[in-house]
Amino acid sequence: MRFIHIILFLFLVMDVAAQQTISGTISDRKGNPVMNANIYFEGSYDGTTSDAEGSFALTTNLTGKQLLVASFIGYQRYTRELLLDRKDTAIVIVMKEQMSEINEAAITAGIFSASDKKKSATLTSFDIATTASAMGDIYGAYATMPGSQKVGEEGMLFVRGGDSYETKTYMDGMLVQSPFFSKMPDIPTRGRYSPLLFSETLFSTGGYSAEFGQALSSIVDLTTNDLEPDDKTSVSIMTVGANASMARRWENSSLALSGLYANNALHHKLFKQTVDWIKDPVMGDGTLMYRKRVGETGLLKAFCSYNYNAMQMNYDNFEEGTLDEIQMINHTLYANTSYTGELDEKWLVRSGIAYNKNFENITYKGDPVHTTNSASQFKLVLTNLTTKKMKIRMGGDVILEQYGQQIKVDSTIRLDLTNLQPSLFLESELKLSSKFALRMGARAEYGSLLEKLDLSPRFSAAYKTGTHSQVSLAYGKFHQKPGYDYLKMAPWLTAEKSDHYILNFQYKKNTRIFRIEAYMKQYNELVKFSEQYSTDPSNYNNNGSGYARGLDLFWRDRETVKGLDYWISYSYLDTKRDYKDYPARAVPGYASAHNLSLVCKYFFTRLNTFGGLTYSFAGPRPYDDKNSSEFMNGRTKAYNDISMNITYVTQLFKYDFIIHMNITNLFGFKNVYGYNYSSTPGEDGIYASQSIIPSIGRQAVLLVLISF
Amino acid sequence: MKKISLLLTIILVSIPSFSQDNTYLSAMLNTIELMDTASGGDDYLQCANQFERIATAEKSQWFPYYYASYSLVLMSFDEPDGNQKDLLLDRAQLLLDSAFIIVPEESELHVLQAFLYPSRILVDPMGRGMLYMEKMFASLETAKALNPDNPRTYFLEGINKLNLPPSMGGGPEVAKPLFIKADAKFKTFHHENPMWPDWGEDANSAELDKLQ
Repeated sequence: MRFIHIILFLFLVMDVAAQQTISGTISDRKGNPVMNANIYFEGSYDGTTSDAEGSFALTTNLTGKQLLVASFIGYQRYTRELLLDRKDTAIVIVMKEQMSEINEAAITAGIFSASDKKKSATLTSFDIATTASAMGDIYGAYATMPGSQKVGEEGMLFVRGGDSYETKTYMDGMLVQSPFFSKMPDIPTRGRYSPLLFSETLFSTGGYSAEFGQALSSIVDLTTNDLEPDDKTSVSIMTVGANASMARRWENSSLALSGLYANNALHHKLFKQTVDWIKDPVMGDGTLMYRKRVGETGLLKAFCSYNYNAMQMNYDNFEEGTLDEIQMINHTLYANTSYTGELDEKWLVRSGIAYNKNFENITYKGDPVHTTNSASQFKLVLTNLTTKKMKIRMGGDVILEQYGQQIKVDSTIRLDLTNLQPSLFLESELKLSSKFALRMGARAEYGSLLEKLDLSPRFSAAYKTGTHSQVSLAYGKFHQKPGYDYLKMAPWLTAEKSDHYILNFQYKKNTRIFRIEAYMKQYNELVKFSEQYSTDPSNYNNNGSGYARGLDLFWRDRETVKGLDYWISYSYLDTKRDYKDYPARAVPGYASAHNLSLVCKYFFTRLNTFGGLTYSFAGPRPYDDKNSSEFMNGRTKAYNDISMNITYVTQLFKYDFIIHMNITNLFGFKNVYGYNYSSTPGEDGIYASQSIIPSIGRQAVLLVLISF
Repeated sequence: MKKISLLLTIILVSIPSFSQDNTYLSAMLNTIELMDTASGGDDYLQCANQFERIATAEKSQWFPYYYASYSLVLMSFDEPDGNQKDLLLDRAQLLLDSAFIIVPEESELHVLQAFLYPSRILVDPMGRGMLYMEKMFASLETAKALNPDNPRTYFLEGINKLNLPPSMGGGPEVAKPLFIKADAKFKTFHHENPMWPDWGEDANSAELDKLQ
């Protein structure tokens, strides 16, 4: 037994003898002490926490080679191998800041992202759905963002001096060829898809990634929801129609179906119309979304939507002094299947196929015009994540577009065009330090119709100027092929071009954000013609050009007043262009120098009520006064709108009820969008004019939703 | 001699392993004690550090991860700065995820998950309220399904219902039976493992007293 005692004693002696103290200081790269850092030997209990001066001392019985670890929230893990030789040691630890969404430089020039996941979100889909002036339309909400223009009679996005056709919409990275319902002259349209279908939306007002092409001004990229959280069925009844939706969730997949029928007949009885409707607008929509998790990281998304809208009216054709009957019927199918996932630890893959078909039948004064448009797309994007410092993305897509139009006037005219457009892009994002990020890329596009290869370089950089602020800049070249309305007459036209230069400063702390962005845009090779609708090919050329420059301001605050969320955006725009049938360079009719939006939302916690109020202002817009010798010389009065909504949420008989009311133009401002002039002067030699005004002065929509 | 050498072998082999177990338990219990008497943010962080150290040494145990995460969640409720709160919660979530890998079907982990979400909501109530409320209730449902006798599930459910207005299916009348149920479960809930989570009982009684 003595022997055992000796052995045990030896162990104890060895233990004491092996003890050693490691002391030192821990600081960040600027020399500031890091307090409360965890300093320990990997795989053991031996460790300590640093004090306010960053000093620490830890005692250990370990011997040999050991790994000393220092960790603290917001910093990269520090490791150092130490040879423990029973001698007390002093060491100095310098911690590097961790790169994270909050404290690293991120490309922000020209981008407004809206996400439910990312902390950097500026607008979420919920924000979009509750913006009073938007009436539940994504594009309506983005019209309250800086850089966009209020153009009441169109309802589409006009970004930074660009025409509406210069903005393109993508869904899960795939092109949506017809994102808006077909429209009638001077009646605003809206987006086909509900904001609630998307978990992330990105609105870029310029300088966007090389992944996207064929848009001169702007892109809207919508990311559809992941798997539905659980089973849900809801029915809503509105003064303009009804909607039903159902979601089913299984372990690794989900299915969501929804259907909408809207009819404006009741609405038009309640609110006085300036339009002489023969058939009130009717709208139908059916949407299916299937999601499936594949393996550990893969997600398969399938989206399919069918839309229908139709209306008929007597159009007051003031130019000709006639009342013209117009009927419009529109059918659209959009299907999109995409897959995202990891190929291995270093590669991410994203691919998709999409198909869009749009039929539009317009009968103008008894003459039918049938137009069909279709786009099929295949896309593949690979992202390499070998190092944290550099992300490389590459990919390409092929789009096959088919356009067909049949016009029956005296005889039948048929026009068919096919365009096959392959494109490739390469882009790398470099994080040179946590303060400095760089993105460089290029895009190559070939159009079979244009028979030309276009190269578009893109560049952006971001530099962090403080904990909460950063400066970014962006440059890019953009190409867009002319619309089929012109290509069908002159298929040899070349792509229109624009160059963007953007400088941006952003300050963001918690839920407050301030942005100021200055930009300069140059337009070249815009389509010009001397006569609209002319079938003579020599009528068309690419000699147009223009510029746009301005300043965008944005401020959002969600914390100063509890329950209040508000944002203010202001845009100053100076633009002139010579395109289409303009006789000279002029400010286009949709552009106003000043645009202002104030959006407020307040949650009345006790009443369970959510209220929203928006004020929109747009400065005078130009119009061509035929009685003036100068082109586009007239200016309308300024545009004003105050809209509000109120949402009440409650439970009745164990069902969730939502009652929602939205009123636009609450105070009935008499807005004027422009003027139509008679094509022939009166006896006094003066051309008579008529103002283009909204079809409804003030309107309200009521919705009741029940969900089970 | 043969006997002695056998005995020696047994002792030599068992001493380290016995002491290892003992060290783990005592280290855990000491730190839990420290956490229970913590008075503020820094104390919680020190406990979280200690739990994390234990976790790296005892990779197959879920308690160290659980408590490291729990300490950070407690700390996050006191943190006024939103960005900082999110950083703490990111870390807490990471630790909790490590625990989930070890015992995915443990009711207590889902309860902690449901306890973490409200702190996320506080960063941006208007923007995050809806999303995290749904997630929180889903976590509580899972926790209840896995162990209907876990009192903390009913306690958290009660707190959530208490803070919801009556028109949303909340209010004191709805919350009270849940606190009573939790109280009964707290009284009978017993786990032989001394490290088993036992928080919530006092707070539950306090809520009940307020509603009396």
